[in-house]
Amino acid sequence: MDFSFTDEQLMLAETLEAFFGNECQSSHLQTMAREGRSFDTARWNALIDMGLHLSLLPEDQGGLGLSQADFVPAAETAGRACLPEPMVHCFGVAVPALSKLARLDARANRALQKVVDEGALVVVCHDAAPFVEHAEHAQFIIDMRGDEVHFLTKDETDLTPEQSADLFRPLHRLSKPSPASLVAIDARELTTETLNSAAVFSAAQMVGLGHRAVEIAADYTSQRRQFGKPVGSYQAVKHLLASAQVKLEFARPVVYGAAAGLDQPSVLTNSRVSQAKLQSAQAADLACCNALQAHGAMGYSFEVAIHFYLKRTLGLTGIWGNRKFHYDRIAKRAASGLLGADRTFA
Amino acid sequence: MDLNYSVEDNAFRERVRAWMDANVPANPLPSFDGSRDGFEAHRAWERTLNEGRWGMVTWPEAYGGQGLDLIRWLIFEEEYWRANAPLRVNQNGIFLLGPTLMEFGTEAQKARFLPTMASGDEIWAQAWSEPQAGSDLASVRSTMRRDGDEYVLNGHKIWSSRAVFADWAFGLFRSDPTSQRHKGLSLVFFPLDADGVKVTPIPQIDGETGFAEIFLEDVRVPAFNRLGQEGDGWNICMATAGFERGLMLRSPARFQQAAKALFDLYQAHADDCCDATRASVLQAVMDADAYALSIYMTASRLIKGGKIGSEASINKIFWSEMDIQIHKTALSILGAQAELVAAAPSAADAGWWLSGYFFSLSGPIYAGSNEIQKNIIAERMLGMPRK
Repeated sequence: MDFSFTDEQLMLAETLEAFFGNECQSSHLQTMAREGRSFDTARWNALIDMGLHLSLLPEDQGGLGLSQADFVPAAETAGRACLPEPMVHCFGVAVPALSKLARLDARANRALQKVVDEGALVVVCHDAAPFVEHAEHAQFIIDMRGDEVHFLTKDETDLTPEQSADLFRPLHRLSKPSPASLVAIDARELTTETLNSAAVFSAAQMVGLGHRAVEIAADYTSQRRQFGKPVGSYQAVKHLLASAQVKLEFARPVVYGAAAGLDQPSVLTNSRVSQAKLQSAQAADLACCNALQAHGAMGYSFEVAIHFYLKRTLGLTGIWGNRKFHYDRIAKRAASGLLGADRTFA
Repeated sequence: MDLNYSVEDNAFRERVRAWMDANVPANPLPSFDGSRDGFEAHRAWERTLNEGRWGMVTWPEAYGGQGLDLIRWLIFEEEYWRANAPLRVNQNGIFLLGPTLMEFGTEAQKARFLPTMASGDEIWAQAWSEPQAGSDLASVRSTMRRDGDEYVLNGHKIWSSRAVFADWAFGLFRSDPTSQRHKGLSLVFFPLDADGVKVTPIPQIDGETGFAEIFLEDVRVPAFNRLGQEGDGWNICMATAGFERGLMLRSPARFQQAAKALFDLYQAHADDCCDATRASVLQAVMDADAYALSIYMTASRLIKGGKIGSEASINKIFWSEMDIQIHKTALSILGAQAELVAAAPSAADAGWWLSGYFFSLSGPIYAGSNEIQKNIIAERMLGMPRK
């Protein structure tokens, strides 16, 4: 029993943290927003050069064969940076799904080669995340809505633009694909696996988003002076941020625990995934709203970066399972006799 | 990261479970805060635990423990709560003063105080707060004056948990009369039956006498009873408070069992529960699980040599708020029965939810109020300005 990351597991996140510290600051987000850009090709290519797209791909397919628990700190770091590019969705969710399809379908296998060799962008459309994100930059789309799985190249898709409040998550509606693109795979198993890992990685991003929002607000309120002293010296302001910090610190172990269980499907795994999603959303929502409040009127302005974190949290909260879905899975665990002091890990 | 118990961990769990099955009293003991009888029944339980060397499994063998790591402690606690074993009457001693003694005490002090603490022969109360020193603990006015090989203690302590029936207290006193605030304070032990000590019970919200006022008038104790150096009292207290708020005072197992009981209660009354109640019940399930996972993570870090820091404050806020939420939800399910005390013929679960609710209300107050903990988090974790 050792509920801590190894140094190797943390190295990836530390490398990313340093990279985003230089290449994805709030000022970068503000510049992109001003310029109406939702994707930075240079930053994306740098992530590919680091080999991140190979993280969750098995070694026999040219990947690094890392586990989801290995990837979860990287997802948290991407959340901290409010990274515009779909690193977590593509590398954490879509590539592992493509890896499964590639074993059954020649077209998918050729696409996987393009992912491995060129860092081609692949995204997923799912009943629990029906609006496809970053479709305009994607070369391949896996559509797992309904009880079918379709593999599509970009030119085979019919996409209608939607618009998210999150400027960095451009969304499209995808028309129902033709039977020609159908892949013969156990759709139920793949959609559940995909939902579980996507929910955990979204949760990890929300923990990162929330922590960063609190940090930004703590910095701002330490500088901003009213009544002759920093507004951050007032308990009312301190307590806003401290309360959010408490929730975030207790969401994080759930996210890590859920990630560690993803490779062993069970009622407990499903429940903990759902719990990670719900509790990180609660914590990040409190963090973003309280961080906004701590900024006063500045928080309501476009100029301060808090709204980027708040909008990303809003989006991630709504996808990969609604509250009813997740609450029901926790209720199922409880009703299955899996509660009590000796049931933390069994 | 490895979230599997080892074969040895599982064997250890089986040993604890078998011992608890054989030794936990079949009927709940009367409250240790309600009467001398209840207190002594709990002292007898501490002795039984100690005979099995289960009193404090993380302590070194020389002091009555088993020298086990924190993961084993968690397993022990899980089985302890699962078996519905009695509350620990000596928690001020074993969970707070014990670890503090091991860190700051001399070998002679450890040999004198730890074994009798582990055995339950000496049960401890905490004597820190004063009428004018609550959240602002550094305002302590009670004094200790050196006189040869002894100290002479004077002053007035209040909100001392267990002091009504306990044997000893550890208190914070001003050893330098010219000092201000945090400086010039020292920590000293005194017997509660010493000449010059007067203990006055304070009835609590539930009518029991869990805490007391202590009046000290020229109470003489050997200088041996001072922990650490003169003037180190504040730092030692802060370390103790770290233990208190941190890991040991509220083991996750307690809340996991409460959440399980709450879910059972909900299922039994499901037809009468609305969606909001269901959401509250499931929130309790989630929070208890999150708390357990968090403590496993902290324990894993400490085993690797990490130190407990501001997460002590984080933990204390989380468990105290969770405890209230669990009990409030249960009372909302019980409806008209919620207000019935244990003695009432129609009380549900022998009034367990109601007494637990009252107890939970003390959580955000004691061991440093949650408002103070939030200041600590804001200032030490988030770097926000003190002034």
